[in-house]
Order: sequence, then structure tokens, then C-alpha cells
Amino acid sequence: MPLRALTEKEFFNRKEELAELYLRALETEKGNAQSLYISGPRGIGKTELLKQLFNHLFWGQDKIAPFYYSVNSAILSVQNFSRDYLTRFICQRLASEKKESALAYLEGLSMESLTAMLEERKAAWALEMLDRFSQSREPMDSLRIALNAPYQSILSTGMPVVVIIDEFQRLKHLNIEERPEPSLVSVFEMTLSSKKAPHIITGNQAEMQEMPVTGGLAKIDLQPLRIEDSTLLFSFLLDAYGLTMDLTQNALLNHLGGNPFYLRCIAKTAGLKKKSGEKDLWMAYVSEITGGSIYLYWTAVLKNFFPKLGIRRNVLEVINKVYHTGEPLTQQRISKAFSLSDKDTEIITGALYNAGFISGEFGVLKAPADRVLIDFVDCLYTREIQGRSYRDIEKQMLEKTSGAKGKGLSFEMTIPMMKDAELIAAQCIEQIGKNLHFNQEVTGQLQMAVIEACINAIEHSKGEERKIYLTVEFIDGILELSIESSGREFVSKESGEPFLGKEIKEGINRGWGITIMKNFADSVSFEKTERGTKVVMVKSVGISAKNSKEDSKSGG
Amino acid sequence: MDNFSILSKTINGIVIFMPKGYVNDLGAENLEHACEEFLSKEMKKVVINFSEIQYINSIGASIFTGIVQKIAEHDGMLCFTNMKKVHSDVFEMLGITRHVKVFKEEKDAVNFLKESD
Repeated sequence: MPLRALTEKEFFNRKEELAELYLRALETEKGNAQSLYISGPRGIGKTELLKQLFNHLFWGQDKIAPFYYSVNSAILSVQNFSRDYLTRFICQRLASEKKESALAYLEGLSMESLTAMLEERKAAWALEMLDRFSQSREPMDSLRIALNAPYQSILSTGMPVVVIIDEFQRLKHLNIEERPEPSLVSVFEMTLSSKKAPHIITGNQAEMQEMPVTGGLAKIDLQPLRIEDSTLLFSFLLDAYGLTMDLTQNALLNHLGGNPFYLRCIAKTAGLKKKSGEKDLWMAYVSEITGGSIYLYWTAVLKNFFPKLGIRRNVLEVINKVYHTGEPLTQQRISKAFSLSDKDTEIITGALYNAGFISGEFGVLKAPADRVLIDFVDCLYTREIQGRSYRDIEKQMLEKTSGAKGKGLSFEMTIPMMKDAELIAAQCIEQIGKNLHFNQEVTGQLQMAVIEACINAIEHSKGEERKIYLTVEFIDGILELSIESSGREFVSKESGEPFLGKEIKEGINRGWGITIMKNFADSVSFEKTERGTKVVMVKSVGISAKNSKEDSKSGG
Repeated sequence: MDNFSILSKTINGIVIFMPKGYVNDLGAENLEHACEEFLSKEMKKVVINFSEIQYINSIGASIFTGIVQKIAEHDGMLCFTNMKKVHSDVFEMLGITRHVKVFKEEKDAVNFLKESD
């Protein structure tokens, strides 16, 4: 249902833009309206604005007939596109006369059914148009008839038409018998210049900018939502999940850059988890960019522009370089940095620019303003190129974005793998437990768990770096212990669980270490890291009564 | 200096071991050998007092299954005493506590073994 739009209540903060477009559309009646191109980054709400405009014109007045068309990437042969465009136009044009929404939303109508319907309605102008279309032999003739249909209908009926086209950039892929003909889109030049049937078009900003056909159009830049509007929208979205929170000066909302798509994604993830603390929102954000709708959206864009698997690694390396070099880059520098031919660099950077991953339309490449996109790429790069785990990414992102680390305590220790090295770690935990007033039983459990993790680290790093890296972090009553070492064979790539070595499987005395860790910690995860393998144990730590009293003293 | 040592004493034919420090594989094997020595002398009532044990690792703990087995083969009796909660939890996990008597204090175990004649 291409015209299904958000309800007026859900459609936030684009009232001014909508009003402006609506008034411009009404100018069509005077015969002096100008075609428009709406520009804006991905997710900013261009499509929704067009749908809202269509609905307002369709239901709000009867002097102008609106026609909405979203170019479908599966319908790009000239023959199919022309047929689809024409049939949809005729249906919507007729629907606007008696406000028949069912007819406006009609999908997949055959030419025969349409003819029968037109005969029944005695729509002579449309029948004549359809007849000419059926008789056309050349694809170009069919395309011209379809594109001129709005104008022809005005001549026949006197009713002005506003044509609204979304995903306009896809038209550059129009083809005849599967032969791409980028020049076909120039056929639109004449229709776009019509003052009686003005067009309002939008699509992918970077690609649209490169299409000569948009050059002569008036342009409206759709701006990101202001922070107060972002706050209103986000509150409204959380409210739908029964969540309320104070969003004043919320750093995440600022980070999302007023992008309604991002706001909706984060609100949905946080809403489904029924959590709305500041840290929960950041967790929802991390979840979104590492595997949620935002992740799926951007990976789909990336795959669409780089369908060949082999090139995607290079692509990620290039994006990372552009994002983190700290200065704009030329194509020559990228070629040199990655030993790419100039042609390959041109292909990669051109596609990245069109996909919206990098900016710089005059060949000096730089990161876009979209911080969410940069974070998404950082996560993808960390996982796919550096081979680091989700947990590392999550931690890195949370540290970067929320400054959570600064609120807790962190201890780090490097222990050489000598005899009974695990006791050094255990003693360390004992002292941390004393300093932070953990219950003795909890400290004992943590010691047992850390001993087992260290023994595993020692067993599985034969012949490699002989060190154990122990990190203890304590935030908000949660203790996280990580024991990292070299030795990559310990964790299964598929399951994330540790392998049981031969000696463990055969010997009756081994294999209990992991059971002990899992029993004494709330969660245990095994991760592959740049260094090798990391065991992360998380435990909610009870604080002794003594500590509670001290806390209340210092607090009071 | 080693992180493990064993003291032993006998009271009325009851052997009392007091291991000290870190029970890893070597420590547990030392204890196992010490038990075997006493079993070979027909001293089948054994108490292991855990009060001086600081840490036990999973390998050390699982070697205790061998000790339990050997004492059972000699129709002997084994008691654990003075255990920290975390250590008894580990033995519970390994299913060892099903085969031994656990007492809070050493003297309770000694009294129990005396009365079991």
C-alpha cells in the first residue's frame, strides 16, 4: 500500500514543510506551479512528507488531483514501468473525483480489468489514453504516453494534476530489454517543466544530485528535526510502550541528529524491552546499530551498492580510512593507501558517495554528518575486519557514548603465566572484595571463578604470549571480570562456547572449571578478541551491611 | 615456598588430615597418597579438616573423587569438616558430598567416627 502514511498525530514536526508544499501544489490551479525537488539525507522523512502531502491533497480539496508514484526497483524495464505508471495514474486520477481510497490504493490491476472499469465509468479520456498505449510499438513511445498522461488528462478534463514521485533516482536504471539506458530519464525533462502538471520528486540525495534532470528544479532542503521536536517525537513513541522519562538535555537524542527513522528505531527497541533509563536507551542504541533495524537498513544499502562479496572488505577499509583520518581525502590517497587501481578507487568511492556513506561531491572525500552512520560503520569494521566480539563493540560504544566507565571503578592487571599464577588473580579479587566490602561468600565465589578462568587461559595459550590480562570493573553493584589471553582455539567460532580439549574429554578430572565459573557468576561469555580469547564473567555483587552504613553516613 | 602442605594426626585410630593452602592437582594428589598410606595400614576412618584450605581448583576438587573411591574400596569412612560455604558448594557440584559426612567442627566428626564402631 504505497500511500499508507502515519496518522496526523504520529506525523511530527513537519507541519511547516507540509503547509508550504500544499500551498505550492494549490498554485497548480493557476497554471504557474513549478516542479520541486525535495532534498535530504536518508531517514530524514522525505517519503513520509510526500505521502502526507498526497493524503492532504486527496482528502482536503477537490480542485487538484494528486498522483503519487514510488519507483519500484523491480519494475524498471521501460515497458513494465510505463504500464505501471499509466495504470496507477488513471486509477488515482479517477479515485480523486469521488474520493475512492480503495481505487487509489489498488494494486496489480491488469490492462483488461482497467479497460473494463473505464468503460463502465465512461471515462473516455482514459480509454483513449489506454488505447494509444496499447497500440504503441516502441518502448519509447509507451514511456512518453505514460509520462504525458497527467498532462493529457488536464487537457481532456480541465482538472490540474500534481505528480509526486518518490525514489526518483531509480529511474536512471530504466532499461529496454535489460539493456540499461541511463539517458531514458531525460524523457522526464519535458514533463518536469510543465506548469500545469508540476512534479514534486525526491529520492536518494547523493544520486539525485548527480542527475542532470533535477538541475533546473526548485529545491527544498528537508532539515533534521530540531532537538525539542526530536524530544516530543521520542516521548510520544515511548509513551506508546507505556514508558516515560525525562529527556531534557538527553545526549542520545542529540546524537541521533534529528533523524525520525533513528528516533523510531531506538524508541521501539527500548519500548519492547520496557526500559527507559538513560543507560537503557544507549543500550538500545548499541543494539540497533549492531543488529537492529538501523543495522539492517545500512547493511542493505551497503549490499545494494556493493553486491559482490569480495569487494566489501576493501569497501569497509576505505570507509574507515575516510572516517578516521582526520582530514578530507582525495581518491589518489585512497588508491595509494590500499594499493587500489585508480579505476577501482573511483568505483568504490563513487558508489560510497551515492550510497550516502561518504560526502564530498567534488572529489575530496570526508565523513558524513550522520554520527549514527559513523557508529554503525565503526561497529561493522570492528567486527568484520578486526574480528572483535559484540561485547567489545558494546563496551566500546557505551564508553564512547555514555561515559559509563567514569562512574565506576576499574582495575587492570597483567599476570605472567608462572606456576600458580591464578592465585595472584585470586588474591587480587580478595583485596578488591575487602576494599569494596563485598560479602565474603561472594568474594569466595569470584575467587573460585577467576582461578578457573586463569587455569583455562594458561592451558590454552601454549607457545604464545605467556600473559594473562585481568580486568575488573565495578559499576552500579555489577562486577565484571574479564580474563584475556592469547590462544585462539579455546572458543568455538560458531557457538561461542569453549571447546573441550582432548585431555578434558578423556580425563575425569577436567571439565569442571567451566561449570564452576557458570555456577559462581551470573553470566559467563567466551569471546574471541584481537589478543586471543577472553572470558567475561558478570556478577551482581551484594554489599555487606557495613558498607551500606558507611555509604549512608557519607551520603548524609 | 609451596602453596600447599598437609599436617596429619591420629586420634583413637582416626586419621585427621589438615591440608593447608591451595588444593590444586598436585596438592590433591599429595592428599590422596597420604590417605593411601594410612589405608594400607588399615586405618580406614578419615577426617579432612578444611579450615586451613584457602583455595581449591576444579582439578584438585575432582581428585577428591579418587580419595572417596579408595576409602570406599577399603570399607572406610570419610568426613569433611570446617568447610567454607564456597568449598562445600564446589563439592556439591561435583557430587562428592553425597559420599561423605560433612561436619561443622572436627570434634563432631571424631565423635561420630568413634561412635560408629
